[in-house]
Amino acid sequence: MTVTEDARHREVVCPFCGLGCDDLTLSPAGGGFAVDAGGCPISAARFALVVPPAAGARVAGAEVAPGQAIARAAALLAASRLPLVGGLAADRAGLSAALALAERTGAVVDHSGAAALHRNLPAARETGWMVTTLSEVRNRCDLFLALGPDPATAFPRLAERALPVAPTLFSAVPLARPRLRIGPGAGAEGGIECPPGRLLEAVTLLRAVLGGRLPPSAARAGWDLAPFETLTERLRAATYPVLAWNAGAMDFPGADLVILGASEIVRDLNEKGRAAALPLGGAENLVGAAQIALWQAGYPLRHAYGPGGIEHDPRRFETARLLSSGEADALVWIAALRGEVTLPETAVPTILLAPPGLSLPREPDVFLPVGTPGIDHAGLVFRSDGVVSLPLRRLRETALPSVAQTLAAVIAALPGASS
Amino acid sequence: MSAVTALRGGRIFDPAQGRAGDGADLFFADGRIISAPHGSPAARDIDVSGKVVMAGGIDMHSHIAGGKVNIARSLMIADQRENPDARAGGLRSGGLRSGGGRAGPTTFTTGYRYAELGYTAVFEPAMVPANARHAHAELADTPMIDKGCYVMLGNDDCFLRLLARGAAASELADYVAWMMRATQAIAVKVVNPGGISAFKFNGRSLHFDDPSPFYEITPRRIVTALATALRDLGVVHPLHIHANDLGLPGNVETTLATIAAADGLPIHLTHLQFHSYGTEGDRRFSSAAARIAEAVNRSRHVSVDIGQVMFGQTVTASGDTMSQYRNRRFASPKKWVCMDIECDGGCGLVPFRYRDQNFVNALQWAIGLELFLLIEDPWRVFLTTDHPNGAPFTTYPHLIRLLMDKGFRDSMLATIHPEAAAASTLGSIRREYSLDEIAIITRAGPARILGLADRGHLGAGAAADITVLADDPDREAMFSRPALVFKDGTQVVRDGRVIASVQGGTHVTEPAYDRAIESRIDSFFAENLTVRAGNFRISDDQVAESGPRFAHPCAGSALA
Repeated sequence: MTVTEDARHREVVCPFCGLGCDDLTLSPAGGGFAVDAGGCPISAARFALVVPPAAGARVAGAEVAPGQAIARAAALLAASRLPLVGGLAADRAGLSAALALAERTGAVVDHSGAAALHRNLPAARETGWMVTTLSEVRNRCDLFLALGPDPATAFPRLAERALPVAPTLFSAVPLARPRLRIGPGAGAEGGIECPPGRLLEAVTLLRAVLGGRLPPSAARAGWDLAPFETLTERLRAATYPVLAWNAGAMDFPGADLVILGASEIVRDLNEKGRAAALPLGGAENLVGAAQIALWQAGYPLRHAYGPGGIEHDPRRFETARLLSSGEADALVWIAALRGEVTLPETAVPTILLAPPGLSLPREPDVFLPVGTPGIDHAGLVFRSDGVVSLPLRRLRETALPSVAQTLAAVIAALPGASS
Repeated sequence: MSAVTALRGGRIFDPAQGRAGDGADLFFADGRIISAPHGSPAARDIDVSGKVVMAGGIDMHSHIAGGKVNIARSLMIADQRENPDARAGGLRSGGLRSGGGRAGPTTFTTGYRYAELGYTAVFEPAMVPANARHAHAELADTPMIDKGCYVMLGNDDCFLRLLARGAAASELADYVAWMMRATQAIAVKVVNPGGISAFKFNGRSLHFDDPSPFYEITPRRIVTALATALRDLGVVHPLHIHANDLGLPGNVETTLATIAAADGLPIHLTHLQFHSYGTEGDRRFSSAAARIAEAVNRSRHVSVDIGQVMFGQTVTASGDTMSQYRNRRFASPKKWVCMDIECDGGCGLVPFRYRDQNFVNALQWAIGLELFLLIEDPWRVFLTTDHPNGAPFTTYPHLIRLLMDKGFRDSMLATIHPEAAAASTLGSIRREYSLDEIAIITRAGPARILGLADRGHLGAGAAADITVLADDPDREAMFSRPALVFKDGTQVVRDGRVIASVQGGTHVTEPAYDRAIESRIDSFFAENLTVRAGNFRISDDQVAESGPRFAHPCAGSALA
């Protein structure tokens, strides 16, 4: 099929990985969309998804009228002592509705990616950090040092968008910007090879070398100091070195301390020159969920609405713990952004909001089909850096409601609803 | 006409109409003040005899929304835990939502607490262009009050490049107008002119006549170019200036140089207290309030807000990364954040505890009050604490009492660091603000300086944003607990507590520009930034989705 120019959508925002690319060109293809420009493996797969013929609501696996499914969801929540509103892969309006539902039902709120967010908290919240955003990186960064796994896996267009070899606002000639990494597989790229379990040692060592406080035991720990000394010289010589990491890919003990160490290196470098940290993340609008939770509830997720107000506890209000301990007795799982539906394994009554047609690990008690923000309806998502939020457009006509509309209907169906 | 409400027998303080406490009935219907209706009696009579009736308060400089406020909330976890705001019943009764915080209140709590102090409009003064969409989204979740934002320009690389290549004044004005419309702003602010950009190039200070790194542009040029652009566009609010050298002893010279550089162009100097420091005395830190006040008094083109300091825990939240990085050593608790933002600006967050037994903090407190009391024209000074930088906005009733009650002020002066008290002229200043003057600096004046024709007064046709206060000689108690507050005619507060949630509107200005600028801006974004101009620009619909969008004309400067 040939696509006419008029059918193409230009400067489309991709809401999926968190990098916030907004330069995609899409054309309709077989019910979904082909990414003609600005694509990557993630956007290609998710924009291509089609709405299947059977896209209705279900209760216990059987298709029912939407109102029946909503009523069943409301009944399950009304019978619950402590519901968990989780997943939270949704646009701003959907997240806002999720928090309203949580307050209305006295629920806990968590996001499927919140563990990554909380790995950053010791640096972000307990000491504070010096951070930057993608456009600053694009124009200023002359040394990019990644810690941990290669961020290109989770953010395929990072280098193209933030580190192109091209003139910048401050350099008429293309800016040389070496990309280095300390982490698994980095040795083959000219970086410092380091398994995840030893990243904390590596970061501690780098900070010590940088500060001229080399621990005498360092050599004994099996590290070759020469690459750290070279790296230190390069960090000092750069005008705007950027240290980046993807907390979502750092699922190992002590990752929060690795991040804290990296943040402290950035602060040390700023004593005399400039440097900045770039915490990468935000898949499934995690950053948006954290931002909205902060402005509405005062905490960056993992909070609960109780009669005495709002409580926050990153450990107590963690999804897996709440479900395995039996404290949560109902689950609302929101997965509108077409990722893998990581619906937790649990016996408690489960209400799932997701686009129809995704493969599910299990059939929920109630399935409420929703559209995808940025495809089926307009919306707003946040980018990795937490500063930029982007408008999502409706690209096609479907009957699928948004998360916000669906949850508003659930709230209205709760007993004692005033409106 | 729908049902008329009558407030009977109140003492009306409406400076815009020249009414200072005369007893009269006040009528409103359909959300608007009306003249006395003929014939038929009012559907609802409320006896407010003996009570003070004012328009709803307008806070023209308060950091209540946007990325930096959210970072502040994140850093200030104790502020949330120690100040829960459980609204009993939540959505089950009256639609109120829980929240919390004092220095960094959540959006719902911000709206409720402002309403409970009799305020009906609040303006976020430091919206970074790249974060504008977030700021408006957050304000959409802030109930009870009207809102508006000042967009931060003057450190953005697009503007600095235009200035560096000698762009014509008309092109600069087109750019400013485009930015105001793209970000849905009501006014323009410049923060540490050139200094935020300089900090990204490792500049650690930038005085008023220093050429900036890379661009080699002085703050003087940035200030005059932006002030000229706003005058040419006819924007009502003058350039809102957070001057260079914030917090530095001796910065009085920078502030006076900024006033002189404007040379008759309208300007607004914000949180003036932080810019009124001399270098006298053993500690090389002194009050320069008298010199500043004298300059403001004779400069009709200058308006100011104070940024009063109050003692206690807060968090400083600013676009001024250069100053905030310098202030990191004062952080209490010891944590701080600085951020470079999108070739646009920056932000810095430093928690801070002002202590009355600390010489510098105590003198800051006195300097703010000196400025309030020495600046003569109440129409050009506005009551602010630069929330949360000087103090949370919930301290306003205490501040009002300090201004209105010399005996109380002197008793507080006696409790601060004795050397600071001795170094201040505060004890010798006899002035007490009248209720009429309070109504000016919290209502009529802010409305006038922002061009809000139907707010800040109680004349026929004005919005029925009304505060009714018991006339308590303890002015702190009086302003802490309004008897009644109406927002657009709906009663929202009774005896200092919110009883109904309403949604305010968003005020914007719509300056005109030559559309030739659009393709140049499109190219700048596409070639240099990581967002396309079309996705940067905020639609009228986004702003209007949570409440009315009030577009104000470019009627010319309020200080012209």
